[in-house]
Formats: sequence, C-alpha cells, structure tokens
Amino acid sequence: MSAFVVIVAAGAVSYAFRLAPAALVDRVRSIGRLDRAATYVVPATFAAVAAGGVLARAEAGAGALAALPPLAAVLVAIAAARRTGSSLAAVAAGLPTLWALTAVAGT
Amino acid sequence: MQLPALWFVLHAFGASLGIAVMGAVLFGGKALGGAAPTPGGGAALASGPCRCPAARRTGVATLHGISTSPPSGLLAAGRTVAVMVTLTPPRPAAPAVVQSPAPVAAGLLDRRAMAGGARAIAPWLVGFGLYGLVVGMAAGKAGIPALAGWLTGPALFSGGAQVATIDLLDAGAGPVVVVATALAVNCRLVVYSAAMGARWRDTPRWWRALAAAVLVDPTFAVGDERYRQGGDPAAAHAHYLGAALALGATWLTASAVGILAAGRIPTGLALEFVIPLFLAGEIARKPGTAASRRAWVVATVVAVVAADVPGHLGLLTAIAAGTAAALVIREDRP
Repeated sequence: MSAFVVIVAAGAVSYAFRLAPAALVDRVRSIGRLDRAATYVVPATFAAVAAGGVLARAEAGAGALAALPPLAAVLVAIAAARRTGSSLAAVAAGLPTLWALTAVAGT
Repeated sequence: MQLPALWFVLHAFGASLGIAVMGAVLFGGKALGGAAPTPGGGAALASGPCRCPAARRTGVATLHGISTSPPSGLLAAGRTVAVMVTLTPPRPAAPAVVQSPAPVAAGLLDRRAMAGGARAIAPWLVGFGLYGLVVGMAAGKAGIPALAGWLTGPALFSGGAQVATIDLLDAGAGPVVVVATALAVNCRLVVYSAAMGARWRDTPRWWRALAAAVLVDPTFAVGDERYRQGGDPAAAHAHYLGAALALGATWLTASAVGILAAGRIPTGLALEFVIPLFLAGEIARKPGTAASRRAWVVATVVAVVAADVPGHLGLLTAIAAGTAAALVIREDRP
C-alpha cells in the first residue's frame, strides 16, 4: 500500500481521536471532574514525554555511562527553569550540557 | 420548541414590544404554516455568525434575515423579519435551528485575541521549531517520498506520532501496524479533546472541527491557561486558535526545512532532545500544587517502568497513572 494512503488513514483516525470526545462532550455529565483531570493531564503528559526522551537518549548511547549526559542535562535544565522561570533557559542550559558530557563520556 | 426560541429571540433583542409582536407573528405563522412554512418562520432563526451587539452581550441565537440585506443592528434585524413574514413568497421548508446554549459565533476569529494566542505560544515555537526540523530530517532520510514524509505533519500534527510513522514506513511495516502505532502515541489527545470539549460547547461545529485538528500538547497547555483566566469565551476561543495556527505554521515550515536540509545538519547536535528539556522546564518553572507535583512524579516513574510495554502504551499508562494519582488528593495544597 502506498505510504500516502497509510499516512492519510493514520491522520483520519488520529483526527477522530481529537474530534470525537469534544463532539460528544455534551453527553458527558461529569464536566467538573473532566476539567479537574485536565489540570493534571498536562504535567503528567509533559513528565512522561520528557522521561521517555531521556530514556531513549540513554538507550541510544553506548557504554555504561550513556545515561549520565541526558540525566545531567535535564537536571541542569530544571535548575535553569526554576531560577529564571523560562523554559527556553532550560533548553539553553541543558543542550550544551548534553553536548559537553556526551563528548567527555564518549557516549 | 417555538416558545423557548421566542424567549431567546426576545432576550437577544432586549424584549421590546414591537419585536415581541413580530416574534409572535413569526412563530404563530410558522405553527400555522404547516407543511409549507415560509423562510420567515422558524427558518429565520439561524445560529450562524452574528455581530449584533445584543447577541455578543447575551451569547444567544439571534434573528438573521434570509434576505439579501444583512441586519445592521437590532431594529434593522427586526425590520428584516417583518418584511420576510409579509412579503417573502412560499419556499420549501428549512429546519429551525435552535441550540441551547446558543453558539458563540461573534469574535471566534477576533484578530486581537488570536494575536494574543500567537504571542502566548511564542516561547514554545523555538523548541518545537527545532523539533519540527528534526522530524523533517528523519522524513528526509527515510526511504519514503519526501512529500509523504511532510504529509505526516498536516495529517498527524504530533511529533511523536510522525516520527513513529516515518520509522515504521521506512522499516517496511504493514499499514495496520503503522496506523495502530500512530494512534497509540496519540492516545493522550482523547483526554485533551474531552477536556477541551467542555470549553468548546458553545462553539459552532465548524469551529470545533478546526480546533480539534490542531489540538496537541502546546496548544492544549496555552489554551487551558487562557480558559482558566475566564472572561469572554469567544476571545478565549480565538486565543486558542491563534496559538494553534502559529504553532501549525511553524511546525509545517520547520518540517519542510528539515526535509530539505536532511543530511546537512549533524545528528550529533541531538536537536530532538530539545523537547524533553523544554517540557522539563515547563514543569519546573511553575511551582504547582501538591497534586500537580504528584502527577508529574508518578508519571515520570511509570513512564520509565512501563517503557517496554508493547504497543507504545507505556506513555498512555504513565499519563493515566499520574493524573489518577493527582486526583486522589481532594484539595490542592500549595
């Protein structure tokens, strides 16, 4: 099957995922609970995606120290964001840390 | 059906006596019209866009003449109705559209509010611009047509799902596996959609269809923040859409540049790591409540533990676990 057809099919079903709950929400009575859950979905999702990214980076590296650069980079990023209140500062501090430690650790 | 509709109309038009009489004629005529009502009956009650001040103020459905002259105000709208009731020749019946609550139509595309949304998402654009570049590079290097790689952007509009789709197509995986994997990665969007749907209840269907197409982590975060501030719902909707369009334009452009530049940008730069860094920064920069801290701590632990769960369900499991753990706390403590 053509890659185009597969992508369009995946996109169509993915769009249904996005639209169906919003379209059917009128039939849901416990909006308050949904709204409260939405508050925590954001930090939970961000943390899960970030953890997955760190794990993937660690697994992609070679050697026993492969996990060190991404872990240290995230910790530096968190410290920078707390200090400045900016997520861009987290990237600006974390990425060079990753590069430097990757070069030092030879991973 | 007619009485609630009449109440809405009167409410929207300040319940003046003249309008009340016209409304009575209007709906009485429709009720008596039977099989061949005129468009001046219930059909005149449209839920389409209305810029009448009263409609903007009350947010309810208003009378729009199905005549060629658009209403220019309350009285003008009233005159239009009156003319239709008396002069319009019979036509086939059109359905009366009365929704409760009536859709907020005016202001959904307000440029100022949309610009505000674009500004609010600007910090995200740097990180996601780089991420889009990385996704584009992956598509450019994969053994699929470049256009197909780029098409994953508008079709899936989710970096994780796009990368997974491109990887699997490149590896020659079957269509069912590719589609199922993309869906598994995008499972969290169901939760986003359900949460946003509660806020979008008063919007027209076309707007919901458009807004859902661009629902993803950053647009949810920026939109959620704006909705929690309260105020004019239409402005909040426009804010969300402005943010989403800014992200979409950046994402698709960055993906295209990534495809064109594939092979020229060193993979050693690890640009894909921008997203974990940015998301970690988003969590850390806000103090949060005890419940939200519990949400991200539990989600992190479960994401690591469940990383090898088949079908890419580890991510969804982590999100569900983190959210459930936070909901256990009844009151938010600082």
